[in-house]
Amino acid sequence: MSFGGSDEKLEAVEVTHSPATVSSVIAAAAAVLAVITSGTSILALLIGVFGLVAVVGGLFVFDSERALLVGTAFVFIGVVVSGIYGNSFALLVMGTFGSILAFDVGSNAFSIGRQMSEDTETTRGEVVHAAASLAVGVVIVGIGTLIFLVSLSELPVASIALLLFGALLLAWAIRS
Amino acid sequence: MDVEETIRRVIMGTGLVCVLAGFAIVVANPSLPFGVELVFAAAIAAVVAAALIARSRLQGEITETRMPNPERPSNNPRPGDEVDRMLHEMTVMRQGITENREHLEERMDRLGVAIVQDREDCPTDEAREILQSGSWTDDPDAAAFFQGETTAADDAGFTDAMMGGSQEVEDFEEQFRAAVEALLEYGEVDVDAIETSDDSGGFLSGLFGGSGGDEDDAVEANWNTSDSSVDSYDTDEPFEDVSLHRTNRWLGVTAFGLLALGVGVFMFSPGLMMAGTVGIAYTIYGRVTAVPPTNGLTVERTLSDEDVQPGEEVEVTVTVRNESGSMLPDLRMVDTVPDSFIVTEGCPRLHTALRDGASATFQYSVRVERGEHQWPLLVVARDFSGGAERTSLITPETTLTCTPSLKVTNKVPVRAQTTMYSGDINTRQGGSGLEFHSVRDYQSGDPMNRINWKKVAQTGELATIDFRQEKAATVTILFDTRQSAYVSARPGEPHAVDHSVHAASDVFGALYDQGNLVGVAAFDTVPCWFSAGAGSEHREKARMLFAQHPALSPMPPNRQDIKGQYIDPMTHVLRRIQSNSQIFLFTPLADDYAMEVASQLDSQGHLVTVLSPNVTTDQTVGQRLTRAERVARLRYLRQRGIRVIDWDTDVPLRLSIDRAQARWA
Repeated sequence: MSFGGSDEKLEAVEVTHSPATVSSVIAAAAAVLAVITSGTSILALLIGVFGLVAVVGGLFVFDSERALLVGTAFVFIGVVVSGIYGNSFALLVMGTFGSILAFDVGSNAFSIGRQMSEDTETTRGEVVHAAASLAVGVVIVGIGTLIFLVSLSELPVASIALLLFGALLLAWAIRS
Repeated sequence: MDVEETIRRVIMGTGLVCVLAGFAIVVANPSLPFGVELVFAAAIAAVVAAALIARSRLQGEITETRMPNPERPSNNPRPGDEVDRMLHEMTVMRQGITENREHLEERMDRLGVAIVQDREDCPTDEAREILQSGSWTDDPDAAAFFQGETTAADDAGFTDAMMGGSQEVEDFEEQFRAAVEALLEYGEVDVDAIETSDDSGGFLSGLFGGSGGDEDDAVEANWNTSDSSVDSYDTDEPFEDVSLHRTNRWLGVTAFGLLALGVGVFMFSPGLMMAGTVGIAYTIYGRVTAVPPTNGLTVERTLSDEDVQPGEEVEVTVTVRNESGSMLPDLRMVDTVPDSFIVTEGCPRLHTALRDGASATFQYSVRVERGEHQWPLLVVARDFSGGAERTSLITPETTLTCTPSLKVTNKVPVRAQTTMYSGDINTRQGGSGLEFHSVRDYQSGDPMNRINWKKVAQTGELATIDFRQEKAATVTILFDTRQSAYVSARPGEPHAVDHSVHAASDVFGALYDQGNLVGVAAFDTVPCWFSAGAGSEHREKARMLFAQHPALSPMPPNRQDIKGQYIDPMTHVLRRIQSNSQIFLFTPLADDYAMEVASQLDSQGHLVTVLSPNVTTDQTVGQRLTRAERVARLRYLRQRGIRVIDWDTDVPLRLSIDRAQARWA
């Protein structure tokens, strides 16, 4: 090239879009927590471990958000199965909390990876998001547990059905 | 209000009624005419809904702003891409078989005839006969390509119907490839063998669909607008709101919640019902929080140098301060540096959270290109949950001006078509000057210092010595900046127009320093004309022209908004050019038009020098074909006596000029 003077060739920096590291680690830890809480039943544990492998593989090996999503789904199914086999209330809530956190923070890791890049300074943004999700979870679990412990035993079946229907429809409307 | 919105409201209303009724039952506890069956039905419905929602989440129903990768160089097409695309369409997609086939056959015919003509030195008809006889090659496939040609063109409609069988397309492709190779060999075109690269993805990454791509899957090239979801980065406003939308990223959690609720009701398990409630609550969290406006963000961009030359590096520091009065919990920012720049160090992005009054800074270096540049910062702000996303462009006032220096690096050979002004070029006319030309009889009025006194002393007769007159030339630097010239050898390398303009700014300086009158013109959809002239003001104006004229822009014409009908791009040049002007034509010779321009100017009596940066490559059949075509054009021009400098862009232009001069001498 005949650029005057500047003989050294300036190359563009590399840009890669892999999931953000801090969020990935938090998501994997949350998934591990969820799998441990579902360990009261062997079947649940097996499903959970399978999901965990997909979560970790998706985040750290294959850069695949689909693997992460399927993985967290399996981790959560593991939690539900442990609930079917009579897991305790506290462990179930913790397991749910862990799965949702893994899902949220993990998918955020991919979102940041796509919109930012590997060399971007992202720690502060990631930590704030994860902390907010955690705090909201603590509040939800606190309030929910209180209501349930106080009222659930006396709740009539019909009201559960209606509440469920209501929640379903609301979720549906919110979805679209 | 559309139907979907109405339905959504109806569903929401029903949901609310159900929830209220449920609470009413809890409070009043009346006996109701339905029992456990309905509860089970609801539970099953919940599980089914969970599965549906999970599926839509997996299908990627999330909407987030796609950000550009401004670090990377722009993605210019390579010469020959269109040929490869046509072949791909024909063989893989099975589209436009007849049109593409006709186009390729026509191109091959023209190339074949040109190459045979060049080698055998014969008229067109004879060359075509040689081509069709097949005697020029040993390869039967290559010979068959030109032999079968007339019949295929004759009953094209019929062949297209027959092409339902894939055999014929494959035969065509095979013959086409063989013919290109044979022509390369026959025409002695310099190419390397095609390197076979094997880039089949890993088995496991294929299994998982790899939405994020592989670890080593680095971004190669980028166009700011087409590789992102923002339509345009051209903004006059300091602040522009692009969009505000929901990301739907909590969809999966909704599925979790419904699944747990359904199973929990079925099993009468309070723990699972609680789990479901947590899921639903998170969904609502993703819905209710809102993104604060971002117009309270102030962006300050400082440059290490605001007035630079093309190819230099500038350090950019961006400081973002939140003065909106509320917290911005999730800010994703990309500084969208112009497409013609590349980032050489650091990262033009930042992901952070800013309290009111807080500020953040990031820093990077760019290699700049000519022009006057002002670019926006792309800001994507989310709320805490990330459920909604606001995209905006904030443009600080900082302007970067990048103009070439027009400094002289080497001497440029000018030919002997001159003006009446004295200058640097030795002409064939005698007169006053330095170099001896001839001795002639004295004519009254000849200056005394040119009388040949020795001869007077010998013979007593007066004689006058003539020296070669030194004159200035008028040179017009003419650029081919049509879209076809915006091609580069590899993504990330400068395209032919960049090469041309960089070289021309040196050539301009050299010609100017040699005392010539230099003008600049380009044939493009935007007329560019700068009459030849002299003087430092002229030089300064030319410098600004190189930097800012839209026809010489580093961006191809279709990336700018140019509307209008087709006019022959040479019209304005031919109308204005002086009859005694020499031409330096910068063109990659990517099509026949550029070659015709050179011969047209030549036949009008201009002395034309073609400077052609070679941006062709040789790794696919299309690239090899275009290289052969370019070589054929070069040879044609040389045969017409037009000076051609075939510029290998890896070496400085100076060396190519020296090499070409040795050939001319």
